[in-house]
Amino acid sequence: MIRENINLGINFIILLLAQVLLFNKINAFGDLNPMVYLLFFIHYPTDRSQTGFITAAFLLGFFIDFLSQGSGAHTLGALTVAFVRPFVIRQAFGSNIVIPPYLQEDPRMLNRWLLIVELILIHHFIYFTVVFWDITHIFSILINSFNTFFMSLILIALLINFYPTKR
Amino acid sequence: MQRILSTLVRFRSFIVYLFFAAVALLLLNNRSFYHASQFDKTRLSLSAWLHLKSTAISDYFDLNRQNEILLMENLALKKLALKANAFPLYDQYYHAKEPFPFELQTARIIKTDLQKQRNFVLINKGHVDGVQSEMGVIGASGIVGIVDQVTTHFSSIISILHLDLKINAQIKNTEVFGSLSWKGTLPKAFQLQDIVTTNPVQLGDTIVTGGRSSYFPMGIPLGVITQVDRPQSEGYYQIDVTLFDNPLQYKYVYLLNNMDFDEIKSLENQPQE
Repeated sequence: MIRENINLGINFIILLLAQVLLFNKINAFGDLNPMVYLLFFIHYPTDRSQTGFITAAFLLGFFIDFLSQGSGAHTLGALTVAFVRPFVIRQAFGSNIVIPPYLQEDPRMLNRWLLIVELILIHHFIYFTVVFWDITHIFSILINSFNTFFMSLILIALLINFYPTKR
Repeated sequence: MQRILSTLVRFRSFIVYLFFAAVALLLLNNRSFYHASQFDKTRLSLSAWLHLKSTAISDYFDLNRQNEILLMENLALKKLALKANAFPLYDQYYHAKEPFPFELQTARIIKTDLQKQRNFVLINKGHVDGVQSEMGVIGASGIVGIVDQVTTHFSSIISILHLDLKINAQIKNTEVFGSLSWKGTLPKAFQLQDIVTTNPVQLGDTIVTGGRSSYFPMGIPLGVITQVDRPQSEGYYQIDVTLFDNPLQYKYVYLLNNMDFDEIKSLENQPQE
């Protein structure tokens, strides 16, 4: 348990620093930055307390905003993804099955990727909605969400393999 | 208490989420000028919307009072309109400036009907309000009737939709006078009688009150001529008139109090020599 918590803490710090120091500075095609810290929401065990998860998500988003001079969009996006994750898991895996504690180890590929895609889409939509904060810019919100979605998805698909599979 | 607590525990993740979301929005408000101004805009439109809705509701409950105010305003305007209609006509026909002897007051109709051939209307004003028998009653545009019976707080009106009531009327801008009466069918279908066939009468001519009675001043618009028949054997036209307004639709009416009424009445009642 303690080892797991330490692992989660290390994961938290690594993702935070990677996002702030590396991925927020990519600016591909002008201003697209992949958000790899969403790995935290995929990796976080499902058998933990939901309130603790939400709190951790808030802290992660808050520190990313704080260190990258963001306004608060990461915070709200991360918070919302953490809140809706149980519903998305049930939606992606079906409501009658046993939810695995570690989602990235689950053998059901289709369901796993469905979950990842949904989490990324929700996060990006919330993120850009907060950034623009104007319903008349809905087209910009959607375009930015989709472009960033593809970059995030590619990087997450690559980096998810670095997590140790046997626990 | 137990239930409240258990509910709080059950929705704890949602409550935690809301709390952190509020904190995040607060940070957003403090850290970004753009978002602060956007929030201000939202706040403004929201408060304007709320204010609009609340005034819409309070306006609704205020309608009665506003109606009273409008009625008072209309009363003053109605008097001016009647004077404006009547003055040129007196000047034109009698070559004299006739004083306008009518005082107006408002009343609300509490019962009206069209079931019978001889209809009556009830209003909510009586002796205490200064209503007397044989006062003229008009609506927004047209005549309603003549006051019949008066009690302390209520009065009955012989409706214009009464077969026995004949209103002195004239064709506008001519010196042709007749009497207008209901045909007993539709509320707007009237006939103009006692007009001799030597007079020129055309379709579409406007009918106004003639002023040759103590009930109504000259020049209140009543309706238009819609059909003219000229029977071979008689010396009078058969003229159909359609009223401008349905007399049943009025909710508020104006009572015309002729200041000279008693004087005229006493003259009429003097024994003939």
